[in-house]
This record gives sequence, structure tokens and C-alpha cells, in this order.
Amino acid sequence: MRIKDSAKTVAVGGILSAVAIVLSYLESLIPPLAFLPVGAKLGLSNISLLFSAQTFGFPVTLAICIIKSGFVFLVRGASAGFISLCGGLIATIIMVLLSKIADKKDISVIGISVVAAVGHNFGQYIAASVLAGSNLFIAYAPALIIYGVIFGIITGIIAKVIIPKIKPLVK
Amino acid sequence: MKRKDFVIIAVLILAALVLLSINKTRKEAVFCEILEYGEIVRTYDLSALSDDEIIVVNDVEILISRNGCQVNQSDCPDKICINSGKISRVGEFIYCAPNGVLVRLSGESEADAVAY
Amino acid sequence: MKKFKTALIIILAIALVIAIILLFGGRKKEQVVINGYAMGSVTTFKYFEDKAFDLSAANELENLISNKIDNSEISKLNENLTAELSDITKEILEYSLKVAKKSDGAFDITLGKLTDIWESSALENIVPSENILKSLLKDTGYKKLKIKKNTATIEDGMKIDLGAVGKGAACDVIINAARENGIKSGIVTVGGSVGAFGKNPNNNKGWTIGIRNPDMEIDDQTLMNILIKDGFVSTSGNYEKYYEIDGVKYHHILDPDTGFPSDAGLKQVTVICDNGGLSDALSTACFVLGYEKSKELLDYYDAGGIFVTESDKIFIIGEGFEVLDK
Repeated sequence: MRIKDSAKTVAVGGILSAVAIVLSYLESLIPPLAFLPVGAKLGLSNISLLFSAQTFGFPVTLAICIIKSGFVFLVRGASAGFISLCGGLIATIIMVLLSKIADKKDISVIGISVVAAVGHNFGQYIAASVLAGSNLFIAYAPALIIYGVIFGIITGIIAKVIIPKIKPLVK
Repeated sequence: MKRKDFVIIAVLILAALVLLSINKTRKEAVFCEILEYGEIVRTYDLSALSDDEIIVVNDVEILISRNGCQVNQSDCPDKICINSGKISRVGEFIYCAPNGVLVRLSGESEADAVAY
Repeated sequence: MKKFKTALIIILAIALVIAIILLFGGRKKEQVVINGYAMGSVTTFKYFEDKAFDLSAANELENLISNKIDNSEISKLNENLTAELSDITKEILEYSLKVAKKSDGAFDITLGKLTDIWESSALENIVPSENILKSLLKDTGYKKLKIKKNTATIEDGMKIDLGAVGKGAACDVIINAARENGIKSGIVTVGGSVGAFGKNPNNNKGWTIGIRNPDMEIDDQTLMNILIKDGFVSTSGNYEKYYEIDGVKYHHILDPDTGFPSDAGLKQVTVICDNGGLSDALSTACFVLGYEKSKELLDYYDAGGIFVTESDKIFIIGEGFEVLDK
């Protein structure tokens, strides 16, 4: 869906980026749970990306993703930024593509969120594998899928509830 | 609430189950390799260790012992490596991305003990 | 339509839960490994409970039976030709004597002086002469070791050496001590002797014991893996300890008849049975006896055996263990 007013798009895009950053920061405050594989996060910031994917399409969503990863780069360093970017890019592509065909294919936000979450996890592990010089996900692949499904459902439900409420405000 | 979502979720869970059944070996690892920016700098045979060893790679302090490895200290900002805890099985790893240090385990020992 | 959807959600939820359980099912039970040194060997005990434990039982045993420790009961026996024994020492001597009897003397704990002469001759790069060995052999013989109540007596010129039984016996005492401490399962290794008891939390079927390949040159160090429930595994071989004199290897398991390294055509014998010291003694006995003559001995003790001959043929007899595919 394209919005005619480009200034408005930029403004909203900015807000969404800020929201993504704040959500990601809030998440980092939660102490890591022992049984989760490294990097399996709740992914609350994905809600922001989901909204953008459903409302604005690829360019804005991509921008938000890059800004969020840029923030990670500033705070946690280049390697963390790269990993965040890879995961985010895959999630973004998945979200935008699936959003386009969602109505035809009978998929809801929740389904998109799940696939994006799993894709995000794998994207991060691929990036880490490249940096580390070793195939890291042999032992973790099943866990990445399962936690992706679980957290994807959770964030998807939240998104499903929130997005319809916010969309009219933006239009 | 959901629609074809069910199919997607079911397929994913199935994929995870298949992967789980293939990779049934959650066995204790025999070898611990330490990599710095992709290059192996040290390999340990955990079954041959008589004492715990400590190695520092790029400001990351790693504890190697007979029943696993862990990162004790690191100067990285997010300390994910330290929070990874102790790893002891094949395929597990600890990665400190900012310092480029990877601790990975491989080589399963099928036996609980060896008679010789 | 709504009911269908609800049913579907429930099914998927269950599938998810199953997947999670499987994910966690792989989680290995927290294990405790304690390392130490006993009977001249690296000793390890692995168990799975949050209880404190140590290997002191093995060191206490060593202080009783090692002839390398001056005040041990065995050393006193060797020195004074008579000594008072604690129950555990007596027990070890008694089953050692029984194995000696059942193996027609192939297993003999009275060869201490011969072991010494091999060691000292090897240092000078000389093979002990037949004469020396013959004269030393005169003072050996398990029948000359007498035990009455808790007193042991030997004849002059004899030296008791429990090296062939010590590691297995140490496995026994460690497991007994563990049991007394309320530990329900675990696996101990003293040198190359192994003992396991209780249920292996990582494998319902039992404990997997790897048997070292007697060929030390090979990369693949495992000859085979076997599966046991409760039990002990000991190995005797020509590769563990040997003297190299003038470029020739003389292994350390002496034939009680000749005083020379035994020559029954075997590279290695592994014995599986329900007692540690016994498995150790039997593996030595079988190594000296050779494959054919060992069958009856192992049968008597309900023990299992794995024999590797000089020509690399493998014979497996007895029950109580399972050979695993590689």
C-alpha cells in the first residue's frame, strides 16, 4: 500500500524505527534464559517491521531494518550489527513478500510473523557462521525453528491486535 | 483467527522434528577447537585432559575442562559469550562476535569409558 | 468451522510441545566427574547426582595392598613373611588365590621378585638369564601363600605383587564407597579397568565401554564398543607395559612356569564380569592361558571374554555384554 504523502511516510517510518529500537532495547533487558540457544529472542521489534511491511511495503521496511541494525552497530559493535542486519534483512524480505500475497493465499499476520521469525533466526546464525568461520547451526537448527514458531506466534498475535488499531491513525 | 497459517506452522514443526530425529546425537564432545577470526588457534582433546586449562584468546578467557568449556571473562560489550554458560556436547559453541573468538565442540565419544 | 479450527490449534499445540520435549530430551543429565590418581594410574569417577564424593577409598586401598608403599600390609608381608590383614586385603588375596587355583597356576600373585628382576635387567639393557629366572621361580607358587583367619604367611624368598589385580580392586572399592554415599549410578575407571553400576541416565540400555585397539600404531584407537549393565571390564595386553631390551619388546605379563613374558598367541584379552578385582585377575590369567584354555575358566566365573590373537583374529565368548556395531 502506498501513501501519497511522502513526508508523512518518512515521519511514520522514523517513528517505527524508533519503536523498533526501543522494543529491541527493552528485550535486551530481559536476562537470557539458560535453555534458549544464543540469539533466540522474542523479536518484539518485528512488530514494527510487520506493520511497515503491511502498510508501506519494501522500501520503508528496509529502511527501518537498516536503521535498527545501525543502532545495534553503534551500541554493540560491527559484528553484532552485521548479524542483526542479516537476520533483519531476511525477516524483512519474508514479511514484505508474504504480505503481498497474504490475502490471496489465506495467510494472516501470525503466519507471516512465524516465517519471518524463523528466517530471522537462521539469518543471524548464517551471519555468525560467516564471521566465525564455522557452520554453527548443525546442533541448533531444530531449536531455531521451534523458538521461531513460538515467538513468531506471540509477536504475530500482538501485531494482529495492534496493527488494525494503528493503521487508521496513519492513513 | 489464523488460516493457512496452520499449514505453515505444521510444516515448520515437522521440519524441526525431522531435523531432531536425524541429529539424535547429543553426545559428549571429545574435541574442543578455538578459533580466532576463522582460524583454528588451539585444539584440545577433552578426554586426555588431566587438569583444567585456561586459555586467553583476544581478551577472551576460556576455561577448558574434562566435562566442558565456558568463557569466564571477556571485554566485549554484551557478554553473550559468558552468558552462554558451559558447553559440553557435539555441535555446541560459544561465540564472542566482537572479539572474533569461537569455541566449538566436535568429535563424539560414543563410549562412557575406555578399557585398555 | 470454529470447532475444526480449535481442534487444529490443539493438535499443533501438542505437536509443538512434543517438539520442545524432544529438544530438551537431548539435554544430558548433569554429571559430576572427579579425577585423581590411584594404583599408579589416572582414576576417574563419573556420576550424576548432587552429592559430594572423592576417590579416597582407592587411595586407602593402595595404602593397604601396594608393594611400592613401605607400610602397606603387602609390603609388611613381603618383608616379615607374615602380616595381619584387613578384611579387604584378605578378600583380595583369597579371590586371587582362587583364580590361581582355577587357572592351574596361570595367574600367580607371587611373582614379585621376577617382576623386579625384569625391571632391573631392562635398565641395564640385559635379558634376565634362564638360570636367574629358574632360581627365582623356585621361591614362587601361589600354594605357598597361606591365609589363616586374618593372618597371611609366605615363604622366604617370595614377594607378593598385586599389580595384576589392584586396578580392578580399586574399581570395586570406589563403587562400594559411592553406593554407601547414596550415589545411585556411576562409572569409574582406574587406569584401563572400568566399573559401572546403576542406570546410565544417558542411555537406558546401559553403559558403552570402548575397548582399545591393541595395535597402537593405528589411528582408530577403538577395537570395538560393548554395552554392559552393571559390571566390570578389565583388559590385559602386550602393549600396556613392556621392557625394550636390545630393540626387542618384552611385555610385562610373565608366565609363572618360565618367568618369561607369556606367549600364548594373544595380543589382548578383555574380561567382563561382576567384580572388578576378579575381571582384572581373569584378564591376566586368560592372557597367559591363551584362548582355548580360557574358555573353561571364564565359564566357571560366568564371565565374558574378548580375545585378540597375534594374527588379529577376534574371539568373543560369554554373555552379560553386547557387542555394538561400529
